[in-house]
Amino acid sequence: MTDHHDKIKRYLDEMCSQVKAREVHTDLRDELGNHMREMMLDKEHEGLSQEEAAAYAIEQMGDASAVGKSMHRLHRHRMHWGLLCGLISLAIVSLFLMWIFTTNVTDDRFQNFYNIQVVYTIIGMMLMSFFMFFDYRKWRRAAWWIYILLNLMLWINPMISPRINGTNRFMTGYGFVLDLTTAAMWVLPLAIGAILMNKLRSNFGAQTILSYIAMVAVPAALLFQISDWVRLVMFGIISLVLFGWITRKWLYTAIATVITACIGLLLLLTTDSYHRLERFSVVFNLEDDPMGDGYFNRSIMGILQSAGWWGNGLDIAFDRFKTSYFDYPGVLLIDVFGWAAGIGLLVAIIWFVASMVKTLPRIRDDFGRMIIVIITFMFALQIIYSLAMTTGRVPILSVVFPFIGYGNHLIFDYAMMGLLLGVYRRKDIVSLRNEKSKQTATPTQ
Amino acid sequence: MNVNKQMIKGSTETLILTLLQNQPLYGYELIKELHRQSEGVFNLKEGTLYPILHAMEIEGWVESYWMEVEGRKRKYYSIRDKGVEALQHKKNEWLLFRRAVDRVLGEGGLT
Repeated sequence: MTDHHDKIKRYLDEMCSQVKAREVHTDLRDELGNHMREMMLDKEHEGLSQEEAAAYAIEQMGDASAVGKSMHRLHRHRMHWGLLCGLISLAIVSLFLMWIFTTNVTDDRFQNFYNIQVVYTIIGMMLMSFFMFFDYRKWRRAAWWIYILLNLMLWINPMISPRINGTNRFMTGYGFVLDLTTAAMWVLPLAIGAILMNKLRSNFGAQTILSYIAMVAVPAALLFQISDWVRLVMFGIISLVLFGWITRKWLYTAIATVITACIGLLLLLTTDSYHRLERFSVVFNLEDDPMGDGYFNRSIMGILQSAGWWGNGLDIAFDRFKTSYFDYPGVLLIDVFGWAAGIGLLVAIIWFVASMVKTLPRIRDDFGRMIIVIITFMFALQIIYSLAMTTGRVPILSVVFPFIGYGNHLIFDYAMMGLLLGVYRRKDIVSLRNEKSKQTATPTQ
Repeated sequence: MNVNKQMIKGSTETLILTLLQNQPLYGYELIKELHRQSEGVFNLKEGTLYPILHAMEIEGWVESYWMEVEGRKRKYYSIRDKGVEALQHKKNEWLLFRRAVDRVLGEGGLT
């Protein structure tokens, strides 16, 4: 609608000039503009000229810049300072632990790990800023392309990349290494959700459920082919959670969970992956198996016992198991600084995850809410398992410690955090007009 | 008689929520309705209504949707469960306040 009266247009211009977030200008113009036009029409019916009616409407509205200023206070880009401070603290802890590791480790191969971690952190933070400032709603249009591209990469990678430690999850080229399965685990649930969320909500039935299953099954099969079980299981869990959250059909979700678990177990038992189960059984009889799979578990438990409340101090050489400390930053922390530091880290991390969960009720946009649910859940899942591994009492798997552990997963961690902060940033700016105006068909009297 | 602006400010949210409890309204309608039902006492500057509505939306008390009626884009507001709760709280607060004021004025011999 055009602002057909000059005075009204000027009034709206003046009001909008106070509101920095341009995304809300159209909404504000339409809403307040319509108000003034309706008032003008009423006044013209009462016999005022158009000019007088416009003057009256503007007089009734009150000072344009005052209205604009109040609107600016409401519709601003928001920064979640708590989460940002938490992130910076985690980055400092991570770099500090990695510095201790490189100075104390006996094996020369690990000498440059601190420097590499610094590089990953910087790249991660740059990506985080990008995802935070870039409007997250635009990703929605790219969801299909991202989904197809990632699946193609998962499919092709086993043919072009070498197998490392029994899997070919890394895509290498031009001196760059992409942790492909980690990318898939993070990004595919977001893409699938973006594509199917509205369909599942508005048109829940056999067809939409089958589409969802198909869209999850394709990458799941590809992850299975790569034999990256850890990422496969995490992808499976988040797909189930996402299905439950979108549809709110908990019975269906429970049935799907049971079926998925059965298929997973069957695959583990029938394929050559049987040895993977041994890592699980080993935690139940650690004493019987002095040098086998339980070696890591027992090493960790021994270190935890020796650490005491205040730790063994900085003057210890990291040899044997301790050369793997870059993957178990929690154990390193406790070894050096003791249980007290471990409890401190635990409390800080619980607070951090709780802050992420608490952002959810403050987001009104459904797509934004979905992003928060997926990202928060994925972080929580990895953090909980990493903390459990820090006790040495659960099977040792290649689950990474988000933000703290060594590796290029940091790049994804920060990028995903940026996406979450980007949703939060726009929480008071996103207009809900498209979705809502379609839903309501009945006019009010 | 004009009522002190501060008094109006404190109760605007309660009145808006009460009106929205009956039916969804758009801003201009809401203003007219407030004016009519209060017999002209509530004559607030209309520009101040929108920041209040938008703040209530961010708070989750009301939700809005656009509808085109007679070629005009109107933004309707409807109350949400959280708004109903807030309204109940505000009403209780008001009743308490009114009783207290009445009691004090009564003792002073207001006729």
